[in-house]
Amino acid sequence: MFGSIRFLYNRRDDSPQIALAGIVALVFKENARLPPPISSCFLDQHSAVHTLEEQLWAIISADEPLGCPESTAHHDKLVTAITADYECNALQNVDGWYISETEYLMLSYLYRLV
Amino acid sequence: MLSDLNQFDSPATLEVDICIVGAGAAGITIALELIDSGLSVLLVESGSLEYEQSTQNLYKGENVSFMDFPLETTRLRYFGGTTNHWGGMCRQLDSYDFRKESSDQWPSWPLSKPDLMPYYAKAQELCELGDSIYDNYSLRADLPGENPFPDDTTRLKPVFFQRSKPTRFGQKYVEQLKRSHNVHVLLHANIKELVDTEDRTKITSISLCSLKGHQVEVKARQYVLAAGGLENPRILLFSKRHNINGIANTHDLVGRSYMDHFGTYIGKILFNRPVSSDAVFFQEKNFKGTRIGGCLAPTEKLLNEKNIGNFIFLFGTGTEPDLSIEMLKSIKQDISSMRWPENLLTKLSKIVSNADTMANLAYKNIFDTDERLFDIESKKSGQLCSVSINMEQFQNNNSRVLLSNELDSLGLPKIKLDWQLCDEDKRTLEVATRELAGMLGKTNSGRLRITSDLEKNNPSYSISCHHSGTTRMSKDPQNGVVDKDCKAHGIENLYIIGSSVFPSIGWANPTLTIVALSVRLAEKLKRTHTTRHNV
Repeated sequence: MFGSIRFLYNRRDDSPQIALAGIVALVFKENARLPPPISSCFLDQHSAVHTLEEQLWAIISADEPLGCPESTAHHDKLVTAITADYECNALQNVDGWYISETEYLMLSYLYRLV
Repeated sequence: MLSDLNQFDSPATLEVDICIVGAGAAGITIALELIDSGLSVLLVESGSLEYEQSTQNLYKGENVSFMDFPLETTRLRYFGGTTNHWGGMCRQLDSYDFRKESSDQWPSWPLSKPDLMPYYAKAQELCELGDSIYDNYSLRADLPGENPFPDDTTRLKPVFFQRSKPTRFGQKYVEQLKRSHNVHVLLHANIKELVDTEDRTKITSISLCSLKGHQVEVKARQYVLAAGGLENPRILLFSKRHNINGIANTHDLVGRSYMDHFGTYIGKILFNRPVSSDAVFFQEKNFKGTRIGGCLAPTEKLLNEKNIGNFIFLFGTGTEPDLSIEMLKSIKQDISSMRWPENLLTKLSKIVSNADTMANLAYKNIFDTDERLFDIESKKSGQLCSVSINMEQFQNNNSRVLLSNELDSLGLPKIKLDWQLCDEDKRTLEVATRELAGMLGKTNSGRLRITSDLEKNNPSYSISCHHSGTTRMSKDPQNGVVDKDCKAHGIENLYIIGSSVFPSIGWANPTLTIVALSVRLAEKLKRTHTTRHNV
């Protein structure tokens, strides 16, 4: 599975990264999921951008090892993953906010990207 | 009729069929139910019809609990008892609460909810609660519109309580008792000793005295202790004429397993859409002649799956006052007036302790949300509300009422309270909080933010003053102090009533169940003891 991520991720071409950032932003904004006001301190200890990106791609392309399907499909998968996190209590507490592990990855990714 | 021990020529002796010690919700209910029963009844009250500091001081004691609070402020010692300051929140215990069994040592109630249902109806009336509505409120057609929580009720469900006026039992029922020909209310009468036979199977008399030194000995056929969850065990423990461990304490259970509802402020919910501040979850509603409030409670499935105590989440419109901004304004004003800010340290500490407010401001700036985010108190709708939790405590041998070495003004040992929480209690808080966060997240209704104290696993607990469990009810004498009829195990004529008999306490406030149990006990007394013997 990680092979497909490496295939998608290309340092000389930023388009997959931009696409992923767009998907993450879409989930947070258009789906009305509310990112909490997280301070930067918790994120300082988190992985590098490419690791976060790999983990996010792993979530959204779990059953699609090749290719990059439509972003709406990615969006739906992230939403499903977030809902599943909450259902199975896969939560992180960040600065007091309970967020799902996938949301945590997404916020970390966005923060690192910025 | 009503009289005052201070008017008695002492020493005196009274002979009655039934002597009830304590004129709070339980004692007054039993006395009311025994009016015109053909039984002569003496209702003994330590205080007067009004509050008196000298009597209230008898409630002072030693508190070595995990929380420090003065014991005399958690209850009231005059006619009407603690109903003189109760808040009036009422609800029956859930069926699950009666079945709850923590361990072999702490079995469930020997009663089921259907056993108590007929008596809850009468209790509803005595507490002036109007129709029994409770969770039927959820059948209202317009409830979905005012419910900010998801429809998924598999783990957390909306539940409803009713609010009594609140009924002050003393004021409400004193005239009825005064008019009675067979019930005699005796004021300023403090219990000095419960006297038993040498073989400890029967109570023979009670010694009473006033703070002014007047004394009376009461000989009754039946005795009912209705002095509250702290005083009931105290009286049993200090009455040690024939046994150093006191009365009804063969198995060293009197005073053990002290329980109270403990709570804490959890934090805030940020809803993903504006919700109405008019919802029943944020403010109580007048409905069909009663007052209703809503909260969230766990389903039986969740309680069984996680093996945690019962609990409720209570919601409030608005969050903590925006003190930090007020403090900042005040400091700014002082500086602009060229003077050193008054109480600067205090103001700065308010700002720091209200860091949440600052976080919200930052959130507004970062995510460009509108003002609805801040508060649902100041407007008809908003996205932010406060959350508190009230929890049931697990039975715990080490949480207990003991006798202090200090003596009160009557020369009797004061109470020593050692209230303890155990790891299971703390787990209830953690599991409940994650469940609420999970429910909000999976339905994408909103997000939960807990306080920094909770985050550091150092919550500030609140008490409810629902003193319970210290003379618990059990089928087997080895597991409790009274049987299912509230009769002390092994003693033929002593009954104990109040929340001290609760084997488990659920989340509901205890008064309604105390009154229901009292109505049930009165019926039992009427049925069993029919001898006429007027005071």
